[in-house]
Amino acid sequence: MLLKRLDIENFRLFYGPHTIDFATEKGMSVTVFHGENGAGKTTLLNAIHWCLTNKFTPGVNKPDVIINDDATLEGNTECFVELWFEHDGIDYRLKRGFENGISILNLLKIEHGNTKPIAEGKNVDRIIQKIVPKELVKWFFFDGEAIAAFSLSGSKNFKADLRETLGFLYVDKLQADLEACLSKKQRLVSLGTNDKELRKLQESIDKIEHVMPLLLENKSNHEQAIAQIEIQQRENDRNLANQPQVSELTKRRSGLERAKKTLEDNKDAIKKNTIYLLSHSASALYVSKEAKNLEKTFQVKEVEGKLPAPYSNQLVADILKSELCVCGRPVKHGTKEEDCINKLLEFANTTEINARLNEVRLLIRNIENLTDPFLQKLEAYRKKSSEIDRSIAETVADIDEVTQAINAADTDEVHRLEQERNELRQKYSQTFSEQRMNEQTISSNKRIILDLRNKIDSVAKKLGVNKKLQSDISKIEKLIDYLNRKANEKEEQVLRVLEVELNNSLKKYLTKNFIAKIDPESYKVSLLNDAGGNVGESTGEGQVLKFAFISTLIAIASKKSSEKIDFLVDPTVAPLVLDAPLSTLDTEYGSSVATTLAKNVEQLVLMGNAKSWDGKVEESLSQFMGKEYLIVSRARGPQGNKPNKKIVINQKTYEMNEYEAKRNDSYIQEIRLR
Amino acid sequence: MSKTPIFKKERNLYWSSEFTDVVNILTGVGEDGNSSQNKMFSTNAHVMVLAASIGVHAGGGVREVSSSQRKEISTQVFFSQGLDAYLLLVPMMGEPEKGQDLIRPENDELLLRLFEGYAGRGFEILSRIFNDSPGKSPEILLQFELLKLVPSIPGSSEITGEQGIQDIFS
Repeated sequence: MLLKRLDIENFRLFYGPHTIDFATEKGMSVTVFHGENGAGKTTLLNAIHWCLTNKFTPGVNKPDVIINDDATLEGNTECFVELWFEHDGIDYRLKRGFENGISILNLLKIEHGNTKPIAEGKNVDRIIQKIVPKELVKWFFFDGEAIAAFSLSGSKNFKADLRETLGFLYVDKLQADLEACLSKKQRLVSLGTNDKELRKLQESIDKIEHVMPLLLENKSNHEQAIAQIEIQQRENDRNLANQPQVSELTKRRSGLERAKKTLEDNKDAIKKNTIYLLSHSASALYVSKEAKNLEKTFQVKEVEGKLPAPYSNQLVADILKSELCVCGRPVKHGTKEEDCINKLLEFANTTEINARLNEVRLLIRNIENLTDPFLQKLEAYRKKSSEIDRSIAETVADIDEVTQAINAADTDEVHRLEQERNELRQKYSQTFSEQRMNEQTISSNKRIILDLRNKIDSVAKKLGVNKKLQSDISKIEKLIDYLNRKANEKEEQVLRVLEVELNNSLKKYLTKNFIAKIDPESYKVSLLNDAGGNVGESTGEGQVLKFAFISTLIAIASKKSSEKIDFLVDPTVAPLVLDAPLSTLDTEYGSSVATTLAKNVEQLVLMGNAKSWDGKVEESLSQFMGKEYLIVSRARGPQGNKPNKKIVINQKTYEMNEYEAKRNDSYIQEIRLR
Repeated sequence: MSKTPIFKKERNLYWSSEFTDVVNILTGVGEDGNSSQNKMFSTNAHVMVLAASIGVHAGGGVREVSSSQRKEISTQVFFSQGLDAYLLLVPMMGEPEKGQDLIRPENDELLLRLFEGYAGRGFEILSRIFNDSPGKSPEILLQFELLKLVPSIPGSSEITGEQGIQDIFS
């Protein structure tokens, strides 16, 4: 998907019509918007977001207000956002809005300059969903809060989203369809006979399948509820930090909670390392003594000249063919001599035997290498684990102390917010445990269905019912198995490439020698320092990791990785739209992050204020920039003591706000590029 | 140069399905059939190698696999996991009198059946370990068993005690 143009009219902060052309030229596809806080950068991002999804990004104020206030007061009920974009070589115009109080939604296709309506209403959403699935929009649109809140935590949602971005969800859907097909065929097998046992087994499956849709709906509701609570928790944190009496304490508590999370992650990493050590050393430890004895036997036989055997099978074959032994005696067919020579074949050496022997001796050496450092490593992990436990206990005590200090503050608002905080934590924990229980039930039901199907299969085979159906079932099972294997292979490849490319990106960003690791089970992305310790998400480097991850992911999805991936289904690719991205970063990383983002993604839309637009960022982005705009905010009334904010772009100074305007709104001004 | 499979002709190895619970515990497959994140072994082949190693170390000979209740793993799986050399090593260690003659390709059938037999013995031992300590995680139990095999390092802490073992997984 490539954004080409945006037309908006009376949309929230923007009164009247406004048009923006996006930079689309390959290599020059960066569009930059400058605007002060409140000028309308988030509104602009949300105009695209709303047009595509009918929703605003989380945390937007008054999401129910869509029509510009002044336009409403003037009795103008018309408001729309029209997005012009290209997808798979076809140009489209997507329009969402209101005309005379009635909502409109239509999608037009542009062919040879002519527009042709292709869908209206709900059908439009269905088509757009195929181009950019709603669930994935959050991977491409980040408002000011979103980057800080974005977590590479390896949660179930994170993994599911990532799988969907990379096109794996279609494979999952195909698999689900095949399983439904399998279920249908098996049902026919059970019903095709009067056997009581078969029918009973089928009834049990039917009962479980009847409740599964409800359980899956609950799953989705839980996910939404948790996302909502997380938004409320962030809002609560912000509100507490804004209370002057407890501002510092709240910040300290947030810092301690982040530190606790990092410690818990480190503890988890130690657990994983220990499990890895145990599983990789276990077999070696058991056979270590016997392996050493075997190697000694090999050495003795080597000295005796019996290992390898001093003659090859080829020598024996040559003697038999020439009917003459190396000693000069004849070896005629059917004689005692021929029998003796034939017996030698049992011990003769071959290339294959030599290769096998080499494999065994190599394994024996590996066993020694694995067993020798086992205890030292285990001891080191245990010590580290105890240290972490102590630190966690200390941090928890500190958090309790700070919380007590916050509660001692003498303001009602702080007490109210603290109470809200506790309630939100309780709600989170309750919803989380309900979510886990629901998921356990889903998993357990799936397992029961699988067992019941196996039983049906076995009974049906014994009864010899419908061979044709059984053959169909076997084919579907093989197809599911094949699909599973292929998907797993591809998933392993994608994760490997993602990790390699992510580390390549990080090398460009970071001066420190940090390494990113992706857990293949949970997809959790961690940043590790030289000593293998976890670098927290909230650190400067942790923030850089997020940008590196997003841009690398999009680069891979756009097939820009150095190792080409033949995706089973084409991944989702959309422009990356970032509001205030550089404000969360340490200044030293700003320009390198901006450059890598511009290089990695097909199209980049950046929004920022004067503070984040320093000379270095401007210089590094200028070669990729195709369009540049200023969002100027206008206010009614005199300027008074209010400041005139300015920005220097291409050595020219621009005013970012105006006073004594006709209305409170914003307008967009294009800046001529150098 | 990429490694070639030790067994040129693909063959199957069998393990008794009565030990499914043991395999599930070690591969992190829960009662619900889902895989846990902290699983110890990624494939059934890894578990079979562990069982065979335990079996040959224990020394009680082999345990036959019943042909009616069995599950199979192809030699190709062992190869893809870099485990196929164990299929040669374990029987050679268990049958020292047969020595290196066991690894002649014409003896492959015997070799693989011996490997299965040692694995069967090992599964029996693992099953006993897990049944005797219900509620304990496989990581702790395996760690405890492994520490019996290695001499302690002078100056190391009480790692060989059960408390020391549980520290990491608490």
